[in-house]
Amino acid sequence: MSVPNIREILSKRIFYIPAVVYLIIFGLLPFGISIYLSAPSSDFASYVRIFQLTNFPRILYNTFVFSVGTAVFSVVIGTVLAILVDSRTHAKRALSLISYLPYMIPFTASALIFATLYNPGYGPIDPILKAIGLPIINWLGSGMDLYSLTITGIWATLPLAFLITLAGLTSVPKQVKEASVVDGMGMWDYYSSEALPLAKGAILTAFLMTMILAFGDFDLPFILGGAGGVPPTTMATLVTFSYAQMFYEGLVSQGLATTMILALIVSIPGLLLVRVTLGGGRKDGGAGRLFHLPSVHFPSLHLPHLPNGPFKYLIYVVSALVFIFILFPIYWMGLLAFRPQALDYVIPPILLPTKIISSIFLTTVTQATPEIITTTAIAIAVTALTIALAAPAAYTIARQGRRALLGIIIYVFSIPSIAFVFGAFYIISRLHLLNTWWALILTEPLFTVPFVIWTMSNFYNSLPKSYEEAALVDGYSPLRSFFQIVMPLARPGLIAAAMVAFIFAWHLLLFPLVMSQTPWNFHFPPVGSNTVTTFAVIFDPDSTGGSVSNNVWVQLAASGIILAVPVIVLSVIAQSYLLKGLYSGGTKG
Amino acid sequence: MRTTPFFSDSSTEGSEISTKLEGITKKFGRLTVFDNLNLEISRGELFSLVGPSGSGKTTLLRIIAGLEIQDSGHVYINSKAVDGLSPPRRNIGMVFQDYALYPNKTVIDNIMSPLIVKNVKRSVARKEAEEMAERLSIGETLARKPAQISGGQQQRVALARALIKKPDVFLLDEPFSNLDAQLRFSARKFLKEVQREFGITTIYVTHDQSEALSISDRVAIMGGGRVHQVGTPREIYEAPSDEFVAMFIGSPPLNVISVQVKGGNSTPITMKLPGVSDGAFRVGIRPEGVTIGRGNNEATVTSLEYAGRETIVYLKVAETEIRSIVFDAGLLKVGQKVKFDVQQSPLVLAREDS
Repeated sequence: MSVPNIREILSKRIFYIPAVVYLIIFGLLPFGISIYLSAPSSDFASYVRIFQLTNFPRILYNTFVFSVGTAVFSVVIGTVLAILVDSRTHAKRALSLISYLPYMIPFTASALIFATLYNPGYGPIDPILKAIGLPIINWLGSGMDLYSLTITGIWATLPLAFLITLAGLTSVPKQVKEASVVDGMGMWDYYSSEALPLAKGAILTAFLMTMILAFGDFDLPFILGGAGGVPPTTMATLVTFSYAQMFYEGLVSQGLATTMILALIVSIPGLLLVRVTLGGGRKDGGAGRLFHLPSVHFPSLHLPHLPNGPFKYLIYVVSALVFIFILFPIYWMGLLAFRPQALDYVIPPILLPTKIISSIFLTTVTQATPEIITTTAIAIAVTALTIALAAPAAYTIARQGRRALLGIIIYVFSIPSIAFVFGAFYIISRLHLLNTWWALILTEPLFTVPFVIWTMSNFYNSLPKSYEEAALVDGYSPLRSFFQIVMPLARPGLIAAAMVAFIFAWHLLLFPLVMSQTPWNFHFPPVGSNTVTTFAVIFDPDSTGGSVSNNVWVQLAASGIILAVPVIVLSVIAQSYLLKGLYSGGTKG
Repeated sequence: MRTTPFFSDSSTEGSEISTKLEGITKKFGRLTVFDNLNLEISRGELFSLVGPSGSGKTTLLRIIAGLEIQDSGHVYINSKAVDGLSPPRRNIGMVFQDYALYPNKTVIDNIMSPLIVKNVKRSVARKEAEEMAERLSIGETLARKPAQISGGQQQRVALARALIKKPDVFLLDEPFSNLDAQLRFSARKFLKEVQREFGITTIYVTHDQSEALSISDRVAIMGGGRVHQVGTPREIYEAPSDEFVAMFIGSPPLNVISVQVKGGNSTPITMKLPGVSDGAFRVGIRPEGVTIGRGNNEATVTSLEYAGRETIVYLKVAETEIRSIVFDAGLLKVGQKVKFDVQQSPLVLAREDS
């Protein structure tokens, strides 16, 4: 039989070896260090101590309420919005733009804005509640703060649920939709009996993704919990609790043990996500079936019958309320950033724009210049490194059907960043790179590489194989075929992936917070690696109190806008690239 | 890397065999596509692999190309075993079903690319590509991208790209399936001309039996993982080897029915069956051999399909239905009783009672 050519085998592996080596050094190694340091004396004393803490059950409870609550409501609301957009023939783009607006606001900025919204006295929600005859709520008081955190989580993650569910709904074949129209199905009939059952996989994926995101989220509970010190027990999650243990209380083993418990908990939705993603089964005639996972069997949906007319109005009314929920914080952020500071601290709060100034916003931009340069440079470097590592790896996974490798990569993606941060910090400090740009350039691809491998492998799967086969018959070597044939074909996907990587790197908060101490000193090699996110969080020249919500609001809103603008611009560009789609015309049909 | 077969077949030495498949077995998981398949393709002929979808014809082509590896058996090109060779080292040219023109390259760069990767000097490659384009009448499209030329032109570019490296075997996978009916006729004729002009051994995959019969020197009818018959188009049409081939070839296809023969008479349809002894048989009757008007048989017209030049008439005799082609069906009506005769000798395909 055919004898495999050694050079061919090597040149195939060369595609994914760099990514795997990177993930071992900056993923597996920090994780291993974290495990080791969580129980250094090879007993499990630190784990035992955690379970003995009186507030630990409460923190576990908080973590579950926040994560599951965020996921459930994000998916329900996201599905309503997805149905709205999918069912409309006009204004689709405008409606989906509003629906994913919060996606363009980095978590750090979202949390800062919600901190001002929740402020007792100066916050804008109270007068609105009073006006419609509802009682005033002490949003950040104990008893309510966990729910306020969850509401912020829902606001920030519902676009993700919306986008995934919409993708599921729009992938319903056009003929099915047309047949339902011909058969006289109403809106509810169509969605309950056709579209939603067909989009079950997408909805489950949305649920798991938002839940994993919330379980591992650092930014929201950290900032709403006061952005420093020990977070209040009433709203601390495993992430913020372990962060405080490791970096404020000096209880490193205990903090690491907490992150390991969290990693174990997240493994459940993480492995489910792996199964849902790989279980779909590819129709590639055997070559890809080296590794076969049984597909997940969803329970069939038996939805009750609803009248179609009222259902339509229900969707419209709920969507309108959700749009107010989505838009108001963004409006408020703009209002705060461009008005005189004196107007912020007035009772009752002023909700309408009365006087617009840009001087404070511009001052903040000037103050943040080193951070803006640092973040831009790091994000560009992280993006380049990510594409260089992930694009060839994704290609191999797609073409050689390496499902096991893809499964591991999706699993790595689901592990919270807090589980890696101490190990990464340890490695970087051993390399004497703390507070340099290298610290972040080397460590941040840990989050972007798995995600880009995952999405790009889907993209390569959608490319017709015949181009590469033609190249093979023409005598191209695998490397030459990849660079000269595949890469140009994959350009739209690569650009979109690069934008996503840039956005990821741009808005990371935890790693800069741990690895950086000062703003860039304007010298080379660069020292000082504070980012815009850390600037926004620790910016506190003359705050009125110890927590972020007492920071100077105008500067806080201004830094939120600085954080959001590049993401908005890139999202819009990325979307238009994705819409342009694949090249056409090289293959017929 | 070259491997030699365990035994060499002396009959291929110096013969006119271009491509030989010997004992090819291929499985996808539990599905066996072929089991011990053998085939010989002569030098310079246009050879078609025809069969319904799922018959494995494309897989066989891809095994010859080296894009799929057989589980056992050998592929010989010009008497040389190519089993261990990667596609570029087999010196084949291939046109893909979707053409797979590189969309980011211009037409000239597409045609040149097999030479460029062989490190042929750019100026030389360019000159050869221009000549090839001229021969295939696509000289005016050279500077354009594949998306900017017509489907017929795209197809010629694909032919040019496959031919420029002067392959030993030219492989085509349903190259006309996406062209519309008008273009298909001219493309077919063009391919035949190109094949003659270059004198190149061509293996052609199609599911369209009329296309295969019209352009091929020889045809292999494939189905159910095996080759049912190999022969010239005339042999296949006039003497199908079994019921599968009989049902597959011809438009409308052969009427395949069961008859009882006793003492020289057949039931339910009376026909001439010279030299057939008594018993039960499966026989094939050509639709054009069934003439309506007079004869020894009586039937009811059950359906009429008007097809322009001719009309297909469905006749029912007892429980058996057969098709007839009639050039003037003006007076026939559904439900009418008619007399008919079987003029040509039917093909006896199988004995049923043994």
